[in-house]
Amino acid sequence: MRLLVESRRTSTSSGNSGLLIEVNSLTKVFGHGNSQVNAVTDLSFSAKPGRVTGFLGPNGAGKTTSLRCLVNLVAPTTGSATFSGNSYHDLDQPAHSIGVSLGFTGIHPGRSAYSHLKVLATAAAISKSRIQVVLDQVGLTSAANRKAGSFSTGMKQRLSLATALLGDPGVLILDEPVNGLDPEGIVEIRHLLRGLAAEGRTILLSSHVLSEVEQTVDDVVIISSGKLVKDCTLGELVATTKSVVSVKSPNLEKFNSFEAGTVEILVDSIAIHGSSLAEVGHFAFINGIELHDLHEAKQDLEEVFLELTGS
Amino acid sequence: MLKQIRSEFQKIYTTRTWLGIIFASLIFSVMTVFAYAQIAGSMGMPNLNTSEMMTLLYGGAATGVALALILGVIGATSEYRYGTIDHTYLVQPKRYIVLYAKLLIHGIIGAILGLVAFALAYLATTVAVSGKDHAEISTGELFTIAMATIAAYAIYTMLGVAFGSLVRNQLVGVAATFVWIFIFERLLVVFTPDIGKWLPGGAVNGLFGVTAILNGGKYFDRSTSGALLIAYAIVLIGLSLFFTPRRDVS
Repeated sequence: MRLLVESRRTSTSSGNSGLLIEVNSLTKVFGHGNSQVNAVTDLSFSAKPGRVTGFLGPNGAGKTTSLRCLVNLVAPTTGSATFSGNSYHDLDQPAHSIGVSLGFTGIHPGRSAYSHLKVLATAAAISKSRIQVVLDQVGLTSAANRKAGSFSTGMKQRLSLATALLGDPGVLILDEPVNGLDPEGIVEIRHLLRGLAAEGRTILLSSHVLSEVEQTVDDVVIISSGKLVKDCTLGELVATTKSVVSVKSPNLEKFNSFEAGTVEILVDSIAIHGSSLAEVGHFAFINGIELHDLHEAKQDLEEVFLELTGS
Repeated sequence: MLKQIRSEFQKIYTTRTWLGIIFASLIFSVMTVFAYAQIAGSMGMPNLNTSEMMTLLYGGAATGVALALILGVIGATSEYRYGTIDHTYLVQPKRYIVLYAKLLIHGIIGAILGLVAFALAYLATTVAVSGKDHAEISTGELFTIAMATIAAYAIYTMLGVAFGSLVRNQLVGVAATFVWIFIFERLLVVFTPDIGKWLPGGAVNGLFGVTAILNGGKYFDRSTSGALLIAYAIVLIGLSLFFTPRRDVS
């Protein structure tokens, strides 16, 4: 963690400013005829500088295809994706402004972590001094000269993130960046990404598990079956969570006349949906109902995510 | 372009795959020379005291071009096998620049490999014919064979890169190369020389000035064979340049 903080300071001094990512009516169809697959359909969203945008959806929702369309690895069937108005293909030296990690693949097992980064630094005209900086940033300094083939999934994930950070870019596009990381690693990456966003960088990260990234993201873009189902701030998503008021009482039958919500009868209690704690408490007070327990439970954010994506 | 060329060179020397292929190629060339020297004068082969046979021996490295082709195929397909092509194209989205750099650096390595292969074939020939009655060939002819070896290795390595970029799948690429060179093309070149001389393998034989062939057939002369090889390279590289930027990397 100490290395992380030091390196964050380093990157602050030379950090590039973020760009606005805009995806407009993006559609990608693979195959032809009967084997045609609509991977992404009419997808539009944006990711803003200074914010971490979570690009969420279950496995197979079209997240990776969308990200690959964004960076020109996959050609959209229709629609476009731009960075402050420019397509990835048209950017001069894209690694200096946009860092991309597409998971823990893309690393030659026979090449050391240092060599992996050196090959890319050379092609992108990035100073070799950056290699040590990014290895520090992701906590891989001690493994710099080890062959990547001996790396754990978590270490490969870190190396992939180091690759994205190599050009000190203002935009980071990360596909499932915490996949395979241990809890400590997830916290480290969270702090790193929050720090980079605080510097004004644009961060777009995908995940199939909302709970993994809900402490990291500011905005959420949720897709399912290649289509947009929600584009809002995390706060707005939290506001949509439903609450359930739980009541224990020796006079539960008196709640039969409660009309401000739906009453669900449980074994030794009732659950009231669609009503607030105050409404239920007031009803009990004016009807002289003895209460043994009264509390409100918020719906889990993950449940909202699963509901939205139909998982 | 220059930085992409340097990066492509680093990709090669930061792994060890190429060492094995180059070593195999050189061993293959030397063994061919000794095998030819052993069967000279028998099995329909000319005697050592003919310039024809000595050309065959000094040009023994011609058989190693198969591995130069494999070197190129692996150079291109390993990017897809390990998914490193993602990073390559992310850093340089103009894919034709990547392909040009790959072709150039592999062509240079192929040329160097060809030079070393010729030097080894020369030494092996010297050892194999020492103490035996054998013909001498002129320095000019030796120089021509050296140039033919260098050119064949360079072109074959580049053909491998172009083919690998089209095929992408390493297993399919390497298997197809082996089947083509050691079975399909070999049969056509040996048994149907009128067809075989048009193939890259027949053109390599022609480039080396090899005239001995079954069924009384002949390969094209050196300049025609060289032009034919270059034509193959232009077509395959052209196809690769056309398709590579248009295909998804997913």
